[in-house]
Amino acid sequence: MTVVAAIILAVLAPFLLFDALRRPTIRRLAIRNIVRRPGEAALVVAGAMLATALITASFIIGDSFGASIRGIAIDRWGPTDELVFVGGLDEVEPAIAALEAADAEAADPVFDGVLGAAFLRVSVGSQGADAVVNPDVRLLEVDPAAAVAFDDDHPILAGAADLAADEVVVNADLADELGVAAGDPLSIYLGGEELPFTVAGVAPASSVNGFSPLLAAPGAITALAPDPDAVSDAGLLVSNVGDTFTGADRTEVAEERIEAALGAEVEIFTVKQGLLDNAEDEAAEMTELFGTIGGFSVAAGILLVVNLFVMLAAERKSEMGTLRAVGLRRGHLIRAFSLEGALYGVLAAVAGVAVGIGLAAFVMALAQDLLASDLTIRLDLVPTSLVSGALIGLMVSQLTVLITSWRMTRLNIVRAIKDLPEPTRLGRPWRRLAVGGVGLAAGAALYLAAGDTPAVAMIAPALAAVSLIPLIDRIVPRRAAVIACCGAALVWVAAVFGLLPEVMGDPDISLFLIQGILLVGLATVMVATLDRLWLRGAELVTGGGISGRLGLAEPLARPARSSLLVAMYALVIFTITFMLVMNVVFTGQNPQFAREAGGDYDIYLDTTATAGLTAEQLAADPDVAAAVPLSQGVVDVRADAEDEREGRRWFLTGIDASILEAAPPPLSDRLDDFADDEAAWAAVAAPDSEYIIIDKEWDFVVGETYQFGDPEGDFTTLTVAGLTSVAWMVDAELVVSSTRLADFTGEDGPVTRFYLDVADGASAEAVAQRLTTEGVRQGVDARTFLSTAAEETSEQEGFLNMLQSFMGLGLLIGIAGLGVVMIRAVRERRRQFGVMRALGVASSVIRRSFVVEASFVALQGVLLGIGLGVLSAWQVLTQSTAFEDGLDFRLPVQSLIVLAIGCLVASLAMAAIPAVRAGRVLPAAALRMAT
Amino acid sequence: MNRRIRSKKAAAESAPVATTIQPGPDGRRPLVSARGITKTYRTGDVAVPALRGVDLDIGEGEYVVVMGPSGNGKTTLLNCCSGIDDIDDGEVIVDGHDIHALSDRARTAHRAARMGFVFQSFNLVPVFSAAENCELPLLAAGVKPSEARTRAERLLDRVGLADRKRHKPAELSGGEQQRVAIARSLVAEPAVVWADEPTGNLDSATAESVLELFAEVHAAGQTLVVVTHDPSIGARAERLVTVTDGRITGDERRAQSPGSGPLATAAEVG
Repeated sequence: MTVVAAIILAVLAPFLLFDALRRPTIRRLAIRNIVRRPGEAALVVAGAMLATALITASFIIGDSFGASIRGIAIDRWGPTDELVFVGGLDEVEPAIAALEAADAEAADPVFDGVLGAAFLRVSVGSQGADAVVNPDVRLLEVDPAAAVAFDDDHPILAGAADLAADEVVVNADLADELGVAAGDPLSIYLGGEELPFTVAGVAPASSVNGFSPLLAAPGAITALAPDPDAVSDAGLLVSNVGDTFTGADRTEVAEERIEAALGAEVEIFTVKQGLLDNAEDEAAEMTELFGTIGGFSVAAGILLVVNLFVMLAAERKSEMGTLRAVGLRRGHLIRAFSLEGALYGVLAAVAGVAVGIGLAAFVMALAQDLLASDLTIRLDLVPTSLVSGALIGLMVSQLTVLITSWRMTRLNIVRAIKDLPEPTRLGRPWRRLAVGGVGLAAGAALYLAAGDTPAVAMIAPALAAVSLIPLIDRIVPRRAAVIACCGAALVWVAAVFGLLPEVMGDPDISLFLIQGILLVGLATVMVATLDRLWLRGAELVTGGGISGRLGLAEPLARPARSSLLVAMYALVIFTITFMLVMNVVFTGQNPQFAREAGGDYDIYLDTTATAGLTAEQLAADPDVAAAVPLSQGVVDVRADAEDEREGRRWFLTGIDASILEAAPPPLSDRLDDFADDEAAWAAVAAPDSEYIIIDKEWDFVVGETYQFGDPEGDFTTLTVAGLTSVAWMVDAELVVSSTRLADFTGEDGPVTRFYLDVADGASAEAVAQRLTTEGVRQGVDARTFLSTAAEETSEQEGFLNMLQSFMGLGLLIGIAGLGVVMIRAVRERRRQFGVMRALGVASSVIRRSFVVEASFVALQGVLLGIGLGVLSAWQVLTQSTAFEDGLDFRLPVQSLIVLAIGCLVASLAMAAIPAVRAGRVLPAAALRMAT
Repeated sequence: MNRRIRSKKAAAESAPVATTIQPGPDGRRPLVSARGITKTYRTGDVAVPALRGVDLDIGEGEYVVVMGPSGNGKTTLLNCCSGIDDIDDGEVIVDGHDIHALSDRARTAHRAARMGFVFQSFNLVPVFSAAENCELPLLAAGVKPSEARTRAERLLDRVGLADRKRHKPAELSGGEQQRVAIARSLVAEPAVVWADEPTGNLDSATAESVLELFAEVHAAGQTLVVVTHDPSIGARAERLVTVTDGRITGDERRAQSPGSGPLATAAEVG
């Protein structure tokens, strides 16, 4: 897009510069029209600036999300580029030696640091009456001296150079959470034991301390666990040559060298590269998302610029007629307008970049509050993005001005000089037939050629329907033709998700932008065509008073201009409505998500493998009706085709027949061999079952077989018995029988999780909290499925809120645009107001007419925007396959009422100043000006 | 309560004032009386006197034409006497009301009820149809919309625009637009109609038809004050007032008697 903008501007620039430097008449016309009314010039600049601001903000937001995610590289990984799991603790030192030897022998050393470490998940808590416990913390056991040498940029040990065996370094985040400082006692819980430690120091939560909130000296894990290898992972943190970011460039070579040195059986995680790739993807996705959502506001901004230039041209109509009469060609007028527009555009681009930075900063600040994640948001201003925003904004305003001035300079000289209206012409019959025919043929051809492309499937039939208007309006009345054809196109665009579910199944975000613009455009044309209906309706409502009649007559007499305003409003409100509906639907799904993840179970309780907690102990709790043990592990999957499923570490959940004590999670699909979901779960739970249940997120197919491998590389073929919907939410994406899990993990599947069905009358949330507190020694972390669902949707909710805030600027454009147009309308109709005042029309009547006019335009925009937004959201949610099981549609009635009333009140407020000005027009002064 | 208070205030403001108005030379009831009106336009530091102490009396039913060179204060005199422009000094009594002593609101209401206006460039509201333009003063005066429409259409019939009622100004010729403007000026049965260069934008044939219409209106007893620089209009008037350099420099009366033309009086129309 930036390249396209640069090319277009490069093509236009020589002409504009030539006119500016070598054509004094055009230059004078352009510059003096700006200087003549600086206030109005400022309004145009402000209108044109908004597009630049939104586009620039989209880029900055994308960059900033990327930078924020890249920031994790520093916060969590520091110098670590690869994480290598080597097996037991005894294998760490030999692995370090082998790796360093291999690198030393190589011509190009890749590693600049290797740190041996052991990882252990523990519960940790402060001591005393107000003790706070975190049930799941990663403890890293390292040699202090080696750790400092590995990352001397960070105060890893927080000054505690000689870390004793009963001391730990705590990172700042965990210290805040537990309320501990250096010297304070601390309890670590593992396997049902409580072990006393002392906080040796508090280190910043970055680098090794970011990855692992607890650092302990060698021997700590041995002290904590009798069989360290059973509960901990031993491995290496590997740093590549280069700094935090450039080290990742050598990831591929490093990975090869590690495999060569340590063998293929070690597990290598290229953590830094993965994170940076993720950051890049996320940045691109955010830029696209905010660019697309912002596209609605940009479209509204373009309509505002068009409207302003149409009004400028209308105001200068007589002047343009005179200029044409004295010998200037139409091209001269277009060039003068273009040069004027370019000057506005350059100012707007500069101001737009500044406002865009401010807007992006606002959105990113909101992101920090709204997104319930621990991502540290960083505002990243990349010069190329700022230039791109300015170039694209300038291109948008310049093309808008060029096209508008091309249209507005098409005038009859005499009529222009006398300021008479141009007659309505439909154009020559043959030309209209040709246009209609070409449009119809193009629509049909597009559909036949690429009808399986979502955008084409949506646009082509609509294009064909609209193209019918010039073909049939000689047979049927034009209004009827417009209503019928635009109505048909609108129905198609609105219903296409349901009509063509296969084609529209996986919609791209840009498709919603296309749909929104089409819906609003078509509906606006239809509304404008029904002008007589509105007049009659308004007469009935207002009783035919002057203010009501004048307030409606003005916008209806200028349907094109009014439609631009209505469309500007409707576009923005459409998007906000769409997001409001999505938001309420998503958050309303929490109970359903909880049910799909847990079935009749209310709580999932995680503990440590060695805690010794049993289902019987939990079931003995009076608030627990049923407790079911689950084992967990990790497995490789070999799919038929190479895709993202292969090479991924899959979390396994092992179940036995007790899973049926309460209703297990419902399946979204299952093998026909099973009568019901419970039968499928029973088949999977059977000892050595060859069936699995897997989350549908990963596109596995019911009835198909897949190969699952253990760490030794032995693979077993298993059949998909059913699919769950949101089990990924609780890390239960792949369910097998507990015996099968033991086969995969090479041990008797350790029970680390329980599903609990809470007794009737007990509060699941309260029970989960109590169990977590009481089970601190066993590292219990009990959560309800409902609270986890709420956490998941709160992310989405926060994100949608963020987008809505971004769209709020679009709404400001709409409201400000209406105000700008109304202010200009006072000037335009000054003579008319003067005459009316002379005839005895009270100034209050004129003021009211302005209020009626603003209300009429705003009301149309609000009703169209909300109506179409709801319709579109309903279609997407219930009729399309975009959400596989469909979602329960619900209306955010209160929010929509607030939106509608807020927009109307704001519009009236914007109309207040011009209304007062209009009422103050002095009749004699206005008439003198006219003559 | 507020409404009642406002109504009382408006009624008090609109009550005729006790003033001394000279009867017309032919014994007509005095309708407009201007005494010592001065008006100066100021643009920055430059002051341009437009009226320098003008006295003018107009009797009921008179057809007065105000003439004079361009820029000598004709239109300003009309604007000040009708109350659409303020004066710097003096007083203007119209139909018993000192219009410049009234509030803007009362003065506006007075105009709607007792005055009609015809302008050189017609000045119809472009987004209203002929009938809607015509009924505008009635609606402004608070007449019910249905009654206003009936009276407006009847008057448009009388000015020969029966088949053009639904047309917007842009769809009418200049002559037709001015006929609509004349119908609009008469529809509220005003005490006086003020016309500023009513033929200035018309060709001679159309201008003639408009002047005939004025003659008919006057013949029906309507008071008319026409500002023009066209001598042919002056020749038709029963009284010719000449304005030069912001002063009345001539006031010539001619013998003419109201007759009865095809256009009925405003009272009949109503």
